[in-house]
Parts: sequence; structure tokens; C-alpha cells
Amino acid sequence: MFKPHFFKSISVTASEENVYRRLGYKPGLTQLSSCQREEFKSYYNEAQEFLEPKGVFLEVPIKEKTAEKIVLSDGNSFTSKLLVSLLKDSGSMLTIAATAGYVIIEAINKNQKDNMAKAVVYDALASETADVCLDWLLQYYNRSISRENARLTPRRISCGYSDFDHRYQRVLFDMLNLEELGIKINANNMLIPEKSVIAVTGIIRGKS
Amino acid sequence: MKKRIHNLINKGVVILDGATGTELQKKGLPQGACPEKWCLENPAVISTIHSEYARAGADIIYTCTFGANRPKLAQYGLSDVFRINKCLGALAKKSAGTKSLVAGGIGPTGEFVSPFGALGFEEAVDIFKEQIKGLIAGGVDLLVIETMMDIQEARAALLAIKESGNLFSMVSMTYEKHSRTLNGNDPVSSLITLQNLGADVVGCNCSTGPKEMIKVISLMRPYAKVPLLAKPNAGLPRFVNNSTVFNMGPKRFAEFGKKLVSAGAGLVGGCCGSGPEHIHCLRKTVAGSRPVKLRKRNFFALSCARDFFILDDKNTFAVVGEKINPSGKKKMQQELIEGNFSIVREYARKQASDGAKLLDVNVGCPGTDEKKLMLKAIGILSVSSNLPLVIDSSDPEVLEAALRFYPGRALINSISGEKKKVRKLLPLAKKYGAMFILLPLSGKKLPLRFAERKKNINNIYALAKKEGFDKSDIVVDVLAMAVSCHYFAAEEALKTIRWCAKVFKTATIIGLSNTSFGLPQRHLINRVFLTLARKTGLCLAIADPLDLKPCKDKFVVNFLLNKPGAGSKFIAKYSGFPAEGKISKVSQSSSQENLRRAILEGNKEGAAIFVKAAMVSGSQALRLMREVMVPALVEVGELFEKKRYFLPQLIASAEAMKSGVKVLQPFLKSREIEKDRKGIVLMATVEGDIHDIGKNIVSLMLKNHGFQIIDLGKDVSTVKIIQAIKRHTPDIVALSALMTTTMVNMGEVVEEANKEGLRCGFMVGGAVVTEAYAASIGASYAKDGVHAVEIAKKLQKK
Repeated sequence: MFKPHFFKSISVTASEENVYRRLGYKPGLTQLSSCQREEFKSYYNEAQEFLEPKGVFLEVPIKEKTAEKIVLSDGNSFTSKLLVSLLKDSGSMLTIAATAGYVIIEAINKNQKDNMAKAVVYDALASETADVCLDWLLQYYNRSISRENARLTPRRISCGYSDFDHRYQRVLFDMLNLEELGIKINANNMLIPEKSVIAVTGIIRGKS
Repeated sequence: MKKRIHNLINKGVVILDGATGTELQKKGLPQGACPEKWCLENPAVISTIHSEYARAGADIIYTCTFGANRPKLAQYGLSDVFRINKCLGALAKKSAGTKSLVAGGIGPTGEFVSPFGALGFEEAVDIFKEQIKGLIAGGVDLLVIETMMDIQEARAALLAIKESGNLFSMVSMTYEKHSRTLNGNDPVSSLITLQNLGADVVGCNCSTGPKEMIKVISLMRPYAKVPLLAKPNAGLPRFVNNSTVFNMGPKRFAEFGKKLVSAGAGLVGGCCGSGPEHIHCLRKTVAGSRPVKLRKRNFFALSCARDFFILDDKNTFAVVGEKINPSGKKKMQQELIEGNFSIVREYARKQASDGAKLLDVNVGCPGTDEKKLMLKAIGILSVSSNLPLVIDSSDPEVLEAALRFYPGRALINSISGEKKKVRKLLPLAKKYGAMFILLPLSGKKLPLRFAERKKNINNIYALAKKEGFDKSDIVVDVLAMAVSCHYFAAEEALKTIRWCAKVFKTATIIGLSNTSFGLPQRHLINRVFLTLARKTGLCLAIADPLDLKPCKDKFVVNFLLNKPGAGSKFIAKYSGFPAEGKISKVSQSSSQENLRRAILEGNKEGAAIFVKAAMVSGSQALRLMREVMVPALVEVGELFEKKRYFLPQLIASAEAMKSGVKVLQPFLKSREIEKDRKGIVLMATVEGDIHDIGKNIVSLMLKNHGFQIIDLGKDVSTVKIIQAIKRHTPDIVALSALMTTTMVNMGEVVEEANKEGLRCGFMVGGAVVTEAYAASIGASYAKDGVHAVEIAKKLQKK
């Protein structure tokens, strides 16, 4: 009954300011000549063409909660105090994943050879885009449940945060059937293309 | 019924009902219950809501069938789509009384439709048809597609209505605060697509409060040929005490209703949080208001999912990118045969950045399934490009499939007077609301002269008019032919353009490069011809962006205008003319300050030029390096440390340095190079980790400071790193990792090296690596590229 919902093209734009922040830009402190500003902006604009933001979400009811463990109705379970605290008011767990796609990775790699500055702007944009995609998925889901008097927890977490073990990345990968979006996972549970992310959050239903 | 609804809209502002969902919640709909099922089990509740809205003055009431489609009902284990819709439709009819009409409500399936999501387009159409069948059986008067976030899903639902009978249809999308749907569809593109596909009313509902919706209606209003609908929430939703609340009261809500009408809405109602009292107040406030008049004249407009193109007084000319066409392109043909679309994507990107406003798509290629390829190309381009498409095929079956799937209003390339095809293609273009390029051919013979073309244009247009087209739906191809074959070709094309612009009043298009075929200086001819054609009134050109710069070369102008003797003069002047080339000017300045500035500003080209200039002016290579270039790079490092520079600036400077050193290298004596050379650094991203941009930045920085780098790459096993240490005996081993899971491999490398008794310094870095972790494994920690240089120098001294 609960199956992943795929979005093969997500319309998001990562803000230029946030991309630069990732690269250490401090408003009011970092000094950019107009020429450099123009140049980096052209990298930012150019890189947009290489992005292929996609994503997926999956809602699964929580079957059981203990002080350290969450068991989902599909049989998957996660031992993590952090996750338990995140889902303390939730009846279901929402798992989301997003990717900036392969083309931008190719463009980053290509540019590393002769224009590293461009490559790092591309790289930061790809990371920011994957993050913005996660926000988009949450916004989409929030929209679809708002009519049901429900909402999502304000926070989301990913594998590797605190005691939410990185090995759960593979469990979530399989639950979401991420291969449908062309995403792969390596032996170390890293997602490929590298600008891909998985996160979880909780669904809180309101009063009837 | 359609006529009755049109009359109602023409009479004055139409009042729609308010929310159903939030009203049901107030009246006891349990959390997590299926609203449609609950309404069937509690018919009195929904009946009361409908009746209250009718009494409050709603002219149109929506059925409670928002989620009564197959995928949504399946979430509650329900499958009887027809019965549920029929019963809820009939219930609404019974409750609405005689004054109010009932609209069968159709909501989203919860899936994005292909090419934006996993739900197939035809599957989506079938899902909606199933629901519509039930609603019609229930006796609804009209249908409303509402709260759509994806234009392709809205199209699928609208096509399902059109293919289910002659029913009045309203479509409303839901726009976020930034006036786009969550799928990125903007109000004007959606309006162009939907009104041309046959929606009787287009508009917006939900998401935002009425204030924000005024902007959406105002954006649509100048382009609306159909009435506009606005059904806002009663303010923006807030979650208070575990409950969603909308806090705009009926009076304030109704005041905004008046503003929505002034902005252009002809139908107003309420969405989430609004109740019968809101609708009552709205009715009273807008009573007697006349909706803003709609535009009478049709206009040239094309759309894709996330953008649009309009040809008007402000926007008089555009280029159609012509490159997505395999004819004469072997590599593209091969890729299409293999089902690979990377060139298609690449051409789309390139043409968009070169200034094309529309993309022509032709994938006809021998030995392939053109229909399949066309659908795939449309899917890819709809997702990756924001330019409306020109669907280019000679096969009616391919065109039909393409028009059906394309999530916008397309331009067909092309429809000629060929009897069999014109009969098939005109109704297709009409059904899908497409524009078309009128090719003035009546048979296989090319009309060489303007008079023949004019006759063909008139004949084809007469047939199109019968199908309901007007002149703004058409672009005439003026048939540019090679001047090398027909000396009068350019002149005849210009006559056709002039007549279309001044007399016939249609837009025109030309395949620009045909004109210069077989002649020298093709770009020059193309540019001159385009200058003449634009002056004459040409609107669109299928062209190479290189040909866009205006040019009035007298020899070419006379030649194209067929002036006596101009042909031989042109040939005499231009045959054997050397190829156009760039003359690059190199600055001769020898100022070392310029070189310093070039490095500080990350000016790669400048750094190379100023090194050359400094050497020409007698600078000594080693001093230039030591006293100008290295200090400049150190200054950059300091600026980075102080956050005055951010990473791209640091790297741009490092690259400028690299470019300067490359020029300087031949001037440095090998003895001097050896003297200045720092140690060997072996670099690797450890096993399991695929991230290497950070390592490459460090590598660039170290190289610039004289270190010799041996880069093993990414995902390198401990065994390989140890082997490389033995082989190269580096002074320093620099390891990078981004993940906590792979970071541990750094420790393994250090441990193994110690076991083997290998003597070298270790430096580690990466997003998750900390100073404490580095210390725990016996390595030095480098937080960034600048710091890495500092650490490497310290390790070297040891």
C-alpha cells in the first residue's frame, strides 16, 4: 500500500547566496571585484543547465517504538536514540531522497582539469540543489497532508548523524527503490552520483 | 448546459462554494479517514455542507470527490471508483437545489505524471476518465480539475474530459507564494497551455491566501481568452495546538474577493478554511460586479511546462534552434539508434545559451522508431529545457503522439497543402491546441514565385479557418531557397514576408541557411539576408546564432536583391576570401604589479601574459617567482584566512599562478628549480570514498608552492597507498575522506605504514575529519588548502 512516489524532474533553484556561503562567502566581509562577481555568477548560471534534480518520498507507518528502536510496518527497524527522539510524536516515518543528477558530476570532473574555480562553484551548487530538493519534497508532502490536518516534524536527519548509523543508508536506499532514479549505492553505502542525499522525518497527525 | 454556464459567466461574477475538507473536519470527519467513503456513510453531513453553500449564494458547488480517483482511493483499500463518484455526484445534485450548478471535482492523483513523475501519461488519462464517467452518471453539470501542481497532470485530466463528451471544464492550478506551482509551472504558461487545449475556465485555488492570489490572477489576466477563476484559502494555514487553522474571517476574505474580481477573476470562491459564512459575505460584497472583459483578439503564444514565448509588439523576433535534427549528423544518428540522448540534451543547452527562444525537434532517422524517439526527446527536453518546442516531423502519427504528450502548447513544423495530410493534421492541431507552420506547398513542386506561394497560403488558411484556426495560430514558412540555384530566391522570399506582415497579417518563419547554400561567405550572406528579412517583417528564423548580427554589406545586399550585375561582383569580391579569424592583441606591459594583480584577481590569461611581458622587459625568472608570484599567492592565502576571499577566489588565484608558472618554467634554470623545489607529496582519497574535489584543491595549492605531487586518485585501497609509499618514498602522505565510514581507512593507512617502518609525514583532511581524529591516528590535520600548504611546509622541515 505504501509505495515510493517518484519525481523525475523537480523544479528548484538553489540561491546564489547559499551556494557562495557553502564556499565560505561571508556577506559584508568577503570582498569580490565586479569582474570576479560576474565570473562566478556566470559559473553559477552555466551550471544550472547541468542539473537534473529528481527525488522520491515514501511514507511508512511506525509499528513499534522503544527507547532506542523504531520498527516500521514494512518490517524494517532502526536502532537510534536520535531517530526515536525525532519520531516521538509521529505515527509514520517519511523517507525522502534527492539527487542533482549525473550530468553535473561529469561537468565538475571535466572542469577540475582546467578550471578548478568553476568546478568548486558547480560542486557547491550541486550540493545545495540536492538539499533544496529535499526541502521541496517536504514542502510537497506537507501540501498533500495539510488537508488532512497533519504536518511534518520541523527537523530531518540523515544517516551518519549522531547514532543514526550510516549502514542504514542501504536499508533506506532499498525501501525507496532509488535505482528507479538512476542512483546507485557502493559497498561503503555511499550514494552515486555523489550529490545524492537521503533523509528521514516524521509525520504528525493533528487532532480530529 | 455549456451554453447555460457561459451565459451565467457573461451575466456577472460567478460565486463558487467554499472548502469541503475543513468543513467535514469541523463536522466530525475522523483523522485519517477517507473523506469520500465517510461522506457516503454519512450522507447527511455532506448534504448539509452543499445545501449551506447553496443557501449562502454559491452559483456552483463542487462535489466531494477531490480524492475519488483510483490511486487515492486505493490508499484506503477502495476500488469502486465509478460508484463512489456517481453517488457523490448525485448527492451533490440533490443537495444543491435548483439554483446552484454542480461541478464534479477532480483532484490530483498524488503522483506527478510523465515526464515529471512515474505515472504514465495515458495511465493518468485513463484514471481520470474512470472518475469522470462516474461523475457524469451522477448527473453533474460541469467538471472542475482543481489543486493541480503539475501541468502534465492537469492536461491529462482535461484531455480525459474532452474525450468523455462535450462538457464544460474548469481547471485550476495551485501556486505557491512565488507564483509557481511546486512543479515549477507558472500561471501564464499554464494558462496558454490549458486555454488552447480547450479549458472553458482557467484559474487557481488553495496554497495561498487571497492576497497572494491577486498577483497570480493579474499575471494571467492580459493573456486570458477564457474566464479566470480564483478560489483562495481563508488566509495562510498555521499549525496551532496540533491542528491546522486558517484565520481570515468572512468579512476580510470577502474584501479580497472584490480585489480578485478587479484583478480579472470572473469566478470567485473559497478553498481550505473558508465556510458558508465566507461565501455569503463574498456574494454580498461582489454582488453586481461585472468581471473584467477578456481579450478578444487571439495572439501568438507557445508554452512549455515552465516557460512561454509570446510574439507581440515588444517581442518581434526570435530564433528557433535547429540543431536537434539528425540529418547530416552521423554521430547524432548513431546515438539515436542506440537510444542515447546526450547530444539532444547538449544541443538544447547550447542553443538556449546562444539565445534561441524555441527548439525545433526532429528525430527522424532511418532504422529507428521515430514515434518512440520523439516521445523520449520531448520527455527529456521538457525536463531539461525551458524553451517551448517546435515538433518537426512529416509523419502524422508521430505528430499526434508528440502533441498529446507535450506538456505545453507546441508549434507543428509543418502543415502543407498536401490533401491527405492537411485533412489529418489540422484536426489534430486543433484538438491539442497547437500552432502550426504553414508550408505553402500544394503538391511536390516548389512554388518558386511569390504569386504561387500567396495562392497556396490562402488555400491552406481557408481549410484551417474551417477547423476553427485564426491567423494568430499560424506561422507562414516563406520558403527560403538557394540563391545559387535561383537568382531571384531571396527577392521572392522577401516579397512573401512583406505580404504576410502587411496584408495577410501572419507571423513568418524562414530556414535562413538555405539562402546561402553553395556560396562562399555563407555566414555573411545569412547575416545580410536576415537583416533585410527582419526589416521586412520576419518574425522567426531557424538559424545558427552566428548569423544573428546585423550586416549590410553592399555587395551582398545587391546580390540578394537581384540587382543587375550584382552576382558577378559578389563572386569576384568574395570567392577565395580568407576565413574570418580572431586577431588577438597581447598587452606588452611589463609591470610586475600587473602580474601581482593578475594573481590576486585570479586572472589566468593575464598572469600568463604578464609573465611573458615581464620576461621580455628583462625580469629575472627566479626573482619574478620569488619576489612577485609567491608573495602574491601568500597574500591570497592571508585574504582567505581572513575570510576576505572565499574558496572560488582562492582557487582562481591558484590557477592564475599555475598559468604564470607554466610560462615561466622554460626560463628557470633546472638548478634553480631544484633549489626551490619542496618535497614529494603522495595524495589519495581513501578506499570507499568517491569525493575528490577537496583533495584536488589541496593538490593545486601544494603544486603552486613548489611541492611535487603524486596523485593516486580516489577510492584508493590501503594496500595500493602502502605500495606507492614504498615506490615513491614521499616526504608527506596526504589523505582525504568525506564520510565518517571511510575516514577510518586513514587510520588504517597510517597504522600499516608504521608497521612497515615507512618514514613519512601524514596529513589528513576532509569534511568530517577533525584535529582530534587526526591526532588520534598520528597525523597532522589540514582544515583547507591554505592550511595544507602550511602543514606540508612544517612536515617537510621535520
